[in-house]
Amino acid sequence: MKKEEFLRELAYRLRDLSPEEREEALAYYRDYLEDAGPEAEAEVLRELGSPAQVAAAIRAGLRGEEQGEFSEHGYGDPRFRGPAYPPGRPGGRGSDAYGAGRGPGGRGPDAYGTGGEYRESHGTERKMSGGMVALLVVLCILAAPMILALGLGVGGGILGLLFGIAGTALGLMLAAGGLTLGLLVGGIACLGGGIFGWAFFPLGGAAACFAGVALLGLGLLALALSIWFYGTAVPAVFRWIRRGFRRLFGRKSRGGEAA
Amino acid sequence: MVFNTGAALLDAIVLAVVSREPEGTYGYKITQDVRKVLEVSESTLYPVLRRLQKDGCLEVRDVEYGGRNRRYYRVTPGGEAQLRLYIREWASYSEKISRIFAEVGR
Repeated sequence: MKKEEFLRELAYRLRDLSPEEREEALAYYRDYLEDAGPEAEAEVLRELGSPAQVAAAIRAGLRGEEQGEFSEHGYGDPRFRGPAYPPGRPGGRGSDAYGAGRGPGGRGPDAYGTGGEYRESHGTERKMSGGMVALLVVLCILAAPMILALGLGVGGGILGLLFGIAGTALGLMLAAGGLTLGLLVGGIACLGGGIFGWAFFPLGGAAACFAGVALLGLGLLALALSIWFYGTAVPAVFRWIRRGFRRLFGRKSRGGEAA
Repeated sequence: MVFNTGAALLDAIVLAVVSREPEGTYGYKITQDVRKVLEVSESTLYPVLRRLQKDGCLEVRDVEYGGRNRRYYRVTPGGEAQLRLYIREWASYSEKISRIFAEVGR
């Protein structure tokens, strides 16, 4: 692995730190490699270990939990050994860790073997925030006319029912969170509108009330499911994905070393 | 080295190494100096230096060197006091242990 590659991957691995901490660490290691000079660069990079190991040590330091100790192999932190933190590869052999088989300077769009995974995880983050924005927009759209409908009273039951259905449909599209909110909001709207509407259209109002209660019940059920979904299932899936990435990454790097 | 020791000793050694240079010294040189007496890995010292800097034991400044900025570390008065404390502690600690060991020799 070359100096620039090392620094680039280190920057990537520190991307969630504050800009100040990230710049500080990157400046230190850029300085360090410059001061080592071109002759010692490969040796120093090998000794530093993988960017993953270096990043883990930086993070542990920031959390104030350096647990390093002296042993017969010198000073080190036993937590950063093992498959999750693959050791660095000897540099200057023409084959680097992530682009085995590519010539030096071969920086195609997929120069890192793991590039695809990185992009994938970026995509997930973007999709999630997009979903949140969409949810907020839908909620605003749903909430504004609903307040109006309730204020007007007459016809509220029918409007509420329509919005309840719309809420339910949109909620279904937005998966658990949207579903729950749509059901709850739609249910309340139906019930409220129904009560107002009762005075004018007894049959329609009663039907809207009934629909409202049913929607509320479903909403509460969905809420319980969402709490489990967001509280337990989603973090578990994320943990599982992260472990998978780590295992995959470790295996890949070792494969690169053997090659 | 067969003894396992906590990180406080490393803090003390780093402070001692930096304090030998009144004009300050830089990361690579600190690492090489510490490695003369202790087998530390190259990635060990950044978190230590950063923490000592945040604790006010070290101060940094960027000095131009060879067309780029190099970060120099220097011990602050607070760091000096901390180093004196470490040295006193180490003297009494190592003296007690040496005394026990000396009795075995007799």
